[in-house]
Order: sequence, then C-alpha cells, then structure tokens
Amino acid sequence: MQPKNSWGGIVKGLISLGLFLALWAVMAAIVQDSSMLPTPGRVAQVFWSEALSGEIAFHMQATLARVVAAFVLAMSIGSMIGIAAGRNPGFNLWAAPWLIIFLNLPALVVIVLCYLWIGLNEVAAVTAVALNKIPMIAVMMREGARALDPALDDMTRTFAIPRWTSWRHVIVPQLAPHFASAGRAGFALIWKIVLVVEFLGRSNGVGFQIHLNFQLFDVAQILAYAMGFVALMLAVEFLIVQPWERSASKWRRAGTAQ
Amino acid sequence: MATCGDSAVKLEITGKSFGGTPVLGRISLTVAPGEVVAVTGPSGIGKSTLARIMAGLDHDFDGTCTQIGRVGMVFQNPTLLPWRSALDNIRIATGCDANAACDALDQVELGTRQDSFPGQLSLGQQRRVALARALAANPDTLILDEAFASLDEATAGRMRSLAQSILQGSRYRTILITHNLVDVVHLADAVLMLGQNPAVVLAEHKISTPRPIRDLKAEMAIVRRKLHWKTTDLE
Repeated sequence: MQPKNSWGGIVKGLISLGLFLALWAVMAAIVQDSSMLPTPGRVAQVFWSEALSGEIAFHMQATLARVVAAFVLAMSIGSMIGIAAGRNPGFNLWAAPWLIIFLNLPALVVIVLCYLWIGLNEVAAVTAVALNKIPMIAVMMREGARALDPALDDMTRTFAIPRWTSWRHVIVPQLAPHFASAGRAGFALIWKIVLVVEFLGRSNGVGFQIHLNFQLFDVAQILAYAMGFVALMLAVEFLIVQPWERSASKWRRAGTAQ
Repeated sequence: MATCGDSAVKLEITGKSFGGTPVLGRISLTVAPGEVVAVTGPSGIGKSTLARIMAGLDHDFDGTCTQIGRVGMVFQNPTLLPWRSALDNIRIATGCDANAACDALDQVELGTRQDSFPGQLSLGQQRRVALARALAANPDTLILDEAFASLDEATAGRMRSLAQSILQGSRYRTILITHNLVDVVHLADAVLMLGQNPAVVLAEHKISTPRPIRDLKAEMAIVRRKLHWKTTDLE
C-alpha cells in the first residue's frame, strides 16, 4: 500500500535533501576547484542562465520526447510478450531463451548496433532504448501474469464474461501493481539509456549537452543538465505515477469487514 | 447460450482422471427444473470436480453433460473482484443493469451494502454477494459448491434460510455440493453420496417431504440411516 504523505514525512524529505546539498557544499569546499566540483549555488546559477536562454528547455524537451516514445514502445511490446508468456506456457518455452539473450546483451552493444544498422536517426535512437528495456518489462509482466488468480479465471468462464470486459475488469486490475513496478523501473532506466544514446549519436538532448560539456570539461553545465532532468523525472513520479497508483489501489484502503 | 426450458440437466460420467489417476468412476445425475440435488461425500472425493464439469470448467472427462443451459455458480471461495463494489461485481459478471443488480442484492438482504468493496464485507456477506451474482445471471442451472462452508453456525443457518426462501418456487436446476448433513436436509430434494476410489454413487435418497414443512430432525435420522452417514460433517 502507498503510504499517505504526512507533513512529518515531507519535512523529513526536505531535511534529507538539505543534508545532501550540505554534503555537496562541504565536498566542494574541500576540493576548492570549481572546474572539478562546483558548489550547488554555482550549478543553480548555470541552470538558471541556461533556463533563461531557453537552451535547457529545448534539450530537455528533445530527451523527454525520446523517453516517452521509447517508454510507450517498450511497455506495449514488453507487456504483450510478458502477458502472453505468463498465460501460455508453450509460448514461454519459445520466448524465454530470447528474453535471456536480450536481458544479458549490454545496452551499449544494442545502441551501437542500432546506429550501425538503422543509421544515426531518431528511429535508431528510440529503437535502441526500447530494445534495451523490452526484456525487463516482459519478464516483470510475465511474473504478474503467472500470478493471476485461477479462481477468477474460473469465475470469468462460468459467467461467460466477454473477453474485453474480462480484460478490463478482471485481468488488468490484477496486473496493475506489476504495470506500476515495470513502468517505474522502466522509466528510471529508460531516461538513463536515452542519455547514452544521445551521447553517442544525437545532436540535441540532455545526453548531447553532457557530451558537449564533457569535451569542454564544464562540470557545472553537466551537473546543471543532470539535475534538471532528475527534477523532471521526480515531477513525473510525483505528479503522474503516484497519483495513478493511489487511484488504482483505492480499494485496498477502503477498510475491512465491519 | 440457449435456455433449456423444462428439460432436466443430465450428467453421465464414465470416467475422469487427473494425470492418469482415476478420480471419478461411473456417475449418473439428473436434476429437473425446480429440483435441488445434493452431492455429498468425504473431502477430496471429487465433489468439486463434478461441479466443475457441470459448470463447463472441465471438459476433459469421459461422458456427457446435456441441457446445462446458462450456469450460475457460487464457488467454495466467494471469488469476487476485490477492486469493485458489490454492485459492480454483479454487473460485470452477469452483464445485467444496475437495477437488476440491486434487486439481486436485495434478494440476499444486502441492498444497503451495494457500494461496499468485498474486503469491507464479512465472509458470510461475501457469500451472499456471490449468491446474488449467481441469481442475477438468471441461470437455468445453479451450482452451490460448499456455499455454506467455513461460516459460523449462526451465519450458516441464516444463509441456509435465505437459500431456502430463494429456491422455494424457483425453476433453477440446483446442484448443492456439500459435506454437511444440515445443508442436505434443509435444502435438497434428493441426495447422492459419493464414495470409493475412483468415486461412484454409493447411495442415493429422495426426500419426499416438501422443504418448508420438513421435520428436520426426522429427515436427518432417515438420511443418516439410508446413506450410512455417521456424523454431521463428512470430513
């Protein structure tokens, strides 16, 4: 169950964040070289100036578009493969070796091969990220599909519930926690892979900017872009993922028998 | 699925195995409209397997099951959707409208709990929702698989009375799976005792006295004697 955010929890979270910034500031003071480790204030300054120029919005938008495209592709295909494998042991016998191969294929190899085979374009970038993520989502969804309650399957068959109704009201709600886990893990990993993809072969996006600033040895810029994107991902988690999860698990908090 | 009018359900099983191990032998069962046939026997004898065959959940058997029509089933566990309200559980399973679902809940005296989630209901109330769901399906054949098991005696008694009033005058062909003698004498018109391995019908008995005017103690004694039933529960 998702715990409700209390004021105490929020305050503790803010104190924890403050401690992180304090530690960072102390480290920067010890290093005393802003080209190696700039202070949080310096990074915030760079972030603000990039935000005012519109650069950061442009690059974050490009990265976010790739993240969303790869996420939708990976979730759709991964869920379909996973659910089919979980529901159909025969299909799983065929799919399992493929999943193991792709799970263990290094992300970098997939990215390089996609760029070599498809070209240095958006299709290759999104395909590479999605291919990296599909096996993990498929495996998570397969476990979810295996855990579906057979008694509810029996009920569905006895009452001859139409396929779409059964999918919507019986199967998807059982898979909701697995969708949430796969989605959250997928999102967290996808944006990191997107940065690598941009680093290696795109001319815009946060990954491209990090590549550029790496060559210029501008650590403040690298941290400003990284922090900006982390903040964006946290916003997605708190504004989209968690409210959806709370709504999907409303029945769990409804109380028990009186 | 087509309705069956006044035809009786006929089940003729010549064999049923699980992984090469025979569990059911020759079993013949006929249930007429309005009739309640109890199938009883010790735990693990194959009563629920028989119920699954009749419900169309298991087709892997030797024999035939004809004129089953539309089935409404109350499972051993209530098997409700925990994420939907009592009303939605009935609507989703049966496709009926909200009014019909409300009527079904009223019939089991849960009209005031239509918005409750199953987790907010006691086991007895969940069983009543499951019964309401089976009734809302407007079934030709009603299968009650250990529908009163695991309830305290007072709740089980209320459930039996409720089931009796619902079944009285209905045209459902009802199969009552139970190992409880009290369920049998309260609700059944006929009782089949399964036994041996693989299971066959060891004894059967028709209860001729109509349900509402039955002398339960006297019927219990008769059923005990005829079916060689030693205790109240056949564990």
